[in-house]
Amino acid sequence: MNRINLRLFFVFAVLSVLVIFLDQQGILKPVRDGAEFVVAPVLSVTSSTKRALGDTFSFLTFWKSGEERIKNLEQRNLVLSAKLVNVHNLQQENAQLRKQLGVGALSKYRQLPAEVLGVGRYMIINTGWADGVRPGMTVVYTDNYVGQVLRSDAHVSFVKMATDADSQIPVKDGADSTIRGVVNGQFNSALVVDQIAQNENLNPGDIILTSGDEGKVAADLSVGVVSRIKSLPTDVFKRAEVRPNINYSKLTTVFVLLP
Amino acid sequence: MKFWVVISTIVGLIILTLSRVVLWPLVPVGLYARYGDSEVKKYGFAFMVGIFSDLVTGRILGMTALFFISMLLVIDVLKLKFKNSLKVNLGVVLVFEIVYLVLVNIFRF
Repeated sequence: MNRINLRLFFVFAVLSVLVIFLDQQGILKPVRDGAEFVVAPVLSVTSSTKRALGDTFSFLTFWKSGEERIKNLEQRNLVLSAKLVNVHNLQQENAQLRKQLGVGALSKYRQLPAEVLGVGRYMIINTGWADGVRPGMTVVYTDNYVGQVLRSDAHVSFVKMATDADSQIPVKDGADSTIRGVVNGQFNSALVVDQIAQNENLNPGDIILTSGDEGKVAADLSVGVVSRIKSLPTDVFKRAEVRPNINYSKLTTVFVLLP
Repeated sequence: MKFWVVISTIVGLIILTLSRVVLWPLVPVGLYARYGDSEVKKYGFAFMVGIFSDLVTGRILGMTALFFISMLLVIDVLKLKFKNSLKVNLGVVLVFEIVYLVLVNIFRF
């Protein structure tokens, strides 16, 4: 082999390892912040273009997925209509209790709006530590849980979404808050609720909310709806597939919960 | 050759930001590795494209650069005798892209 090639390789390999080390230590943060200051507006424009293109050509896939979606929505509508009556009574009771205790759902947080610049493994938003965003903060869309801030640079933050394989969210059943478990992300597209006792009454159609246990994530945020029980009665814990309420790749604006 | 590198870099940049896919830089890097006119420029180009890719996607800085220059070394070590055909060269690049995708998903950097 050419000696120049090997020498060049080692020079750039050492340089790459040095860059990795410096980045891990946070020394290259100013470089990242500077680059993101330039790149973020470009990402914003291309994300908007991508969404516009997706909407324009969505009719090409509707014939395949549209019918199935309509069927699912009709079934879901029937289930939700039945629950609506009960929800109305619970809302009244909830409002009275909150008034008595002086507690709000998300009222103790300030909601910082953030534009979504892109969604890959992580969601990239256009707010960072300069805006008060810190790692660990919860990101929501209306009352739906989106994810947690994984890293915040000066003007850009990276959000680990609920569907991320490393995501674990303490949750509870919306109908019976004594049913508690953990929702794990799967392959960046699905959710599974686990660690629920076998004797608990978890059923398809149940709404899954964040429990706020361990103080990791704000409580009472909607995560999704149970679509299918996966486990067998002989398994140690009950496991179920949870269908997220929102399509993360379609979001254009989210809100970071600031204390 | 430089025309292909420029075009594929621009197209790849658009694809990267539209689809959040980091596989595109391997195309200009791979083509430059095959047809580039200077060893220093080849490795330097691969290094800079790797750093840029990580900056845009939020990955650990330097990881992609390390992969790209390793790819160039593999090409040199194996003395891969490609036919002077764009299809063959892009096919080899595609193999490296698949390897990169597997590494990223296993080690999650």
